[in-house]
Amino acid sequence: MPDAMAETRRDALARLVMWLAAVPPAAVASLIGVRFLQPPRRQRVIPVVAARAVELPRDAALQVEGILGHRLVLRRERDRILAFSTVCPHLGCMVTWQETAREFLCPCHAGRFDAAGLPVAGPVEAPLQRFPARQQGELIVVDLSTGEEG
Amino acid sequence: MALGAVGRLAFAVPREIERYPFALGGTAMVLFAVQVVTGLLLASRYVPTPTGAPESVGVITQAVAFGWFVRGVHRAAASLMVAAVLLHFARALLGGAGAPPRQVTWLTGVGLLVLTLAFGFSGYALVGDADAVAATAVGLQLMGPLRALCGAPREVIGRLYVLHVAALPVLALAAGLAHVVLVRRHSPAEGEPDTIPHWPDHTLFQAFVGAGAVTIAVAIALLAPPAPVVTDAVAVASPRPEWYFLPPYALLKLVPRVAAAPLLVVACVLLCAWPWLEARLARGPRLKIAAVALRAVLLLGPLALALWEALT
Repeated sequence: MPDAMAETRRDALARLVMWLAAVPPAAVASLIGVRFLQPPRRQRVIPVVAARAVELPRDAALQVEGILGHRLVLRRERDRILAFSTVCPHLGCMVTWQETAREFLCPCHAGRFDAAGLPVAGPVEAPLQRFPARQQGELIVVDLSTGEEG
Repeated sequence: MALGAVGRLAFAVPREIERYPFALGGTAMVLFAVQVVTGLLLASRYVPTPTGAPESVGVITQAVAFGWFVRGVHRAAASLMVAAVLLHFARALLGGAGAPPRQVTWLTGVGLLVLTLAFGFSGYALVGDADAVAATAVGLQLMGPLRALCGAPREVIGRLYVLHVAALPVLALAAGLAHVVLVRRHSPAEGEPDTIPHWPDHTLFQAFVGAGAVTIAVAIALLAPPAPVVTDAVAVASPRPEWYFLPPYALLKLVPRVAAAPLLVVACVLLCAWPWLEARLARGPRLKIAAVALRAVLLLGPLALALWEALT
């Protein structure tokens, strides 16, 4: 009789351990599911110094790298400063600013964008991403947005 | 009620089925549950239109928290579920599982096999990228007149979405329930000297094997996460389907297009009629050889086609 009792207890403990082992995976899976369904995090805007104002004369263009991982083309058009991402919205190649043609050229599929970053030729449909930019004293500041897309 | 269900599961099964080949049906069931959970998540962020599909799948893969993981698990578990169902089918075919009185169990099984493949086909189409569009166009050629049910080209995604998330799950649940109930009714334990109860012994064994399959699906999702979605028309699209559709894909290259759909219908009819055919073939020694040959064609034929397609 005591043997039978011990056996049952062992069985019960084994069963308990088995069910408990299922708890962590279930908890992780639930967390993943909840995060998946939640709306994406709000975008954060980070103002960064991209260049000194003297580096960008009137009607000129300047490529800057390593700005929080972004590679940007800055352009000064009259009093406005424009900051473009150089990532082609087509397949992610790097576009360059062509001063003579006054347009952006993507070398991969010959996609071209006008001076405002709007697509004009090639397979591209979306405009280049633009970031708000301004001159603050002697510095050019770009508002980079980070975080997940909506 | 739960206790009642457990009580119903406590029927006796032969001890000799406590082996992996006899846990494949349960594995498919566990993976189906994974597909329901991950599928509900994906459906809540998916847009079933020609442009919305690749866009939303791209957002899921690249922007949504854990989106790549949920999609990766859904994709890997789909492949594993097809593998489990195919192996379960091979085991049943070689084990003479459709012999009387289990013909109807066999029929529900064939139905579940077809449903699983339909899940795979429609699911692959729903990604909506260039590859999926190309593969779906090829696959629809095999549907014969049924192709018209998919509507105009821009309606295909919507129709396949309804199929994938509404029609097929309902049919699969019904067929699966019938399959399980029939397996229990014609318990293989009759006349067996050494038996174990299905619950808890065999049920837990199946649950463990199923958990192993889920672990493999998670590992695949972690090690080979889904690539970003390419929607561009310039990209070179490959119409090559997932591995489990390589046999019909190769068939399309070997036979004229008009013959492919009838051939598949013949294969389906053959599968459905198999229990009766087998019973008849068991009567004479020559016929028995024919039965062995037919089994070999049914199992090795698709395998050979897939290998040929994979290697060329």
